[in-house]
Amino acid sequence: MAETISEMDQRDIAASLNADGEAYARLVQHYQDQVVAQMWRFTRDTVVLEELVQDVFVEAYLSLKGFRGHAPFLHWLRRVATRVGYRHWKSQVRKRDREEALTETRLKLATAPADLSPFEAAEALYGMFAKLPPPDRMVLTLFYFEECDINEIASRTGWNGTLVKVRLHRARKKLKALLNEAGIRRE
Amino acid sequence: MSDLLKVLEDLSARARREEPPRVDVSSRVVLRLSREALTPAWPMILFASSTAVAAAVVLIISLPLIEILTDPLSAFFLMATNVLP
Repeated sequence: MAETISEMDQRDIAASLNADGEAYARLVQHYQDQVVAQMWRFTRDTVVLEELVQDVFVEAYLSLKGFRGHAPFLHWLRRVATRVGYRHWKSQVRKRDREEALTETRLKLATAPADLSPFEAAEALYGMFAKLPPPDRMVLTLFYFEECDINEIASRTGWNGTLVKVRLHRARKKLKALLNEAGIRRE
Repeated sequence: MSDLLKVLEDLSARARREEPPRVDVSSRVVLRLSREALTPAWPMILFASSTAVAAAVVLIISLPLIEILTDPLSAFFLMATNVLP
């Protein structure tokens, strides 16, 4: 991937800043698949997914003046998406979700991961992480789901590298404790 | 801990192969923005400016009236100062 912003993006961003809706629609069409894939880590509900993806692009437009163009547009968009997803988790009433997720996870982990389809594996992983508070959930989601390294997690979340390492370590410990507590152990 | 890490790695490797749903939000985003942000700012600026001017005129007219209402003798003293040498 090129590390600079493409000329086409540059043109569309400049036009969007001049209230050209068509130019911004082109940017949305160009990047929405990547954003959808990213936001699918933050919800498993397709209706909520659509809302979150819309929120990402609306928030991106409103902050577009702040985009400096030093890095590809997608990198910047991913940071906006991370913020939107994090806010979504924080706004959720988590108690009920946690209980549902726990039952779901128990069922999924009764099967060995090798037997799970990608969809089931994603559901199980989502269910496990949903039991944790948003900062732990975020660091595990980015590390395992999105395959981000420490620097990338730091860049997307705005946390520093040391904090990311500490959170990752603690989140794993918390997850293990929660799974043991719930009687979820892998045979 | 290593058992948990193994489970996480197995699951995440498999989960990353999942196809996310197909979603097209471009028209809805532009529609939302056209309501919220894409509309040009000048009509609102014009309206706000004219409202501010009208408010200033009302303020200039009403200030002496407020003074008379809050201090009814002020008009009398004003006349007296004009009459007295």
